[in-house]
Amino acid sequence: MKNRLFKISALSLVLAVVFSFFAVTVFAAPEGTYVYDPVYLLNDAEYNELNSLAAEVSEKYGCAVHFVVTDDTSVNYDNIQQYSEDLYLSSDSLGYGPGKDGVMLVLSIYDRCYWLLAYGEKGNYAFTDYAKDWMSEHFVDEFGDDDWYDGFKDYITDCDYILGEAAKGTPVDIYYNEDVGVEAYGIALIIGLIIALIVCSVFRAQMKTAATATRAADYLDRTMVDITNRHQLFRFSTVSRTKIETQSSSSSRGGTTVNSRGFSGKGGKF
Amino acid sequence: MATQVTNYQCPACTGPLHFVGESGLLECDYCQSRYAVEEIDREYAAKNAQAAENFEKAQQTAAEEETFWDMSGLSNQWGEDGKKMRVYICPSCAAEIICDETTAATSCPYCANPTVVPGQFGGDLKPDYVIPFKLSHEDAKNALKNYYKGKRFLPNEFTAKNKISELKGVYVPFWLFDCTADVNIVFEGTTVMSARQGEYQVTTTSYYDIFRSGRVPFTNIPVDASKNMPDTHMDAIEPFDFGQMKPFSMSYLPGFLAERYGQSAEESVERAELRAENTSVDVMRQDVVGFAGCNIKHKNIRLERGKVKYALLPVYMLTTKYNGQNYLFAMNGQTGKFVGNLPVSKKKYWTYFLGIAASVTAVLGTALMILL
Repeated sequence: MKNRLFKISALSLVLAVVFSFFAVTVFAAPEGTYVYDPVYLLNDAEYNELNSLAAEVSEKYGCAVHFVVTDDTSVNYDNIQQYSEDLYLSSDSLGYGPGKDGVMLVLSIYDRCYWLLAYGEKGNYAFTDYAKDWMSEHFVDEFGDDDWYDGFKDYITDCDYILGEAAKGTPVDIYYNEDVGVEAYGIALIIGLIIALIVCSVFRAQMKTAATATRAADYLDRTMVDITNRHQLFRFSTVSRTKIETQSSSSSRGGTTVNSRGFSGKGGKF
Repeated sequence: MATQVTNYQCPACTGPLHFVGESGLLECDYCQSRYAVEEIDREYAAKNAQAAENFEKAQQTAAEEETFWDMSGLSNQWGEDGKKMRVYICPSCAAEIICDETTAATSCPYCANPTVVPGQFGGDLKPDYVIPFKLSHEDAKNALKNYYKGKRFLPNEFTAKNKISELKGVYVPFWLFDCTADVNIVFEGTTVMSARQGEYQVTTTSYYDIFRSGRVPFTNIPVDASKNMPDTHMDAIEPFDFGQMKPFSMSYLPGFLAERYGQSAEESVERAELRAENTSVDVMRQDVVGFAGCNIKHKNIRLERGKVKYALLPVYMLTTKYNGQNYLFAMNGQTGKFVGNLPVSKKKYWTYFLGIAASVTAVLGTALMILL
């Protein structure tokens, strides 16, 4: 408890500086700290469990998994991205290794908004735009119900899964679908049934070759056909204009959108 | 959301006209001619009226110039040759089978009834022409075996237990019709042009009246004159090469059966006329090119009806039995074209269906898994 109070005090001090100046500052915290909860959303047992879990995942994949809670009234939906990125860059405690690979979820209790960012080569490779959308769907509802422990646990569990998939070389992306097998074989089955129907219809047609004739082309001498009138009259034309729908976001193309500061991110309200 | 406007053509230069709100007139983009909307409406109404009048006239002319089939050459009597002919009647299907005195009918070639009874030969309507058999009975047997090949749904027992119960070379009576179709057709044709303009896809569909007139001659459209022979089989073994047709002679009959016509020429004209009309429309439609769509708006087809001939055409009839049911096959005795309906094995059908569906699903599903 003493240790935790020390960490929180240090964090609060740093955050105060950051909020005051919105400039690069120092975010100092003891090594092995991944969870920053100065407002006590979690009890001690929950805090220790989640911090250990985050540490374990971070070490396993070499990519830090953080979450930070703030009740500062100056952090709102409009500036939480700037705040989160400044905080991440300014602190030596955030990120893993010299490349500062990591993912961080920042929660503003005051404005009930969040920002989820990824940084570094590993972070941006694993946490694609689609992956961030996918994991947000899991924790947003729980935070909305003030179920902080489950929300943070889901966040860390999702990070573990996403980093694991990225380590296998198949990051969770727009084309990635947990039900891809069902979808692929479902499409294939429909196409298979249609092809089978067409082929069997052709085979079946070969069984019945007796049919009434409705044409007499075999008894027509085409050289004697005399077409005496060929002309055409324009009547009118119609012009239709249809607005072309464009792809609205880069996330639909897959991959990760990284800004000039090297971050990718996603935010919202809960 | 798509929007649509209608354009008209400038009467002076055929360029597109567009409505200018300031002047309240339709103006040409090319020659700068200006027209009141009512003026263009009148112009188009006049054009349509003229087209309708022309069409009306064509129909009137057609009605006035209606022709009749020339059946004057059909009254040939067998004369002395009739004395050398025999006739048999099938008590089952009432087929009237004729043959020369050297040939005897022992069973009906159509229904495979093993009993045919001799009848009285009438001696009327001797055929005008005959196409002699070019292929033998053996060719017909081989053709049946070949016909079974590649038929994936054919029950195994059908080929194993199947025996040809009847194989007869029959001269089947046909009426042959000569005619010329005098065709006037108006098609509605459309052309479609689509281009991207800024944020919009602009599609221009132009509508045209396409006029085609002409004469389409037909020679020897055959219509099966037998009442017992299924029309489907006789139509399907076409075409016959009428270049090899000979004036009728008794010398072609020995060894083969023949049938006296059971359907008169008058009863057969409808089928011949329908075939001629359909084909003449096809000819005109094929002449219209460069349009995305082409539908008939009006058509007027006047048939100049010509000569009707009575001919015997060579057909091998084969009957087989399977599960107590007769299966009738026919082969063109001149060209060897073989037709007939075969039974379908449900077991084989579903085996193929499920096999193909499963194979495609497995291969395509795996490929999609890799791609996705």
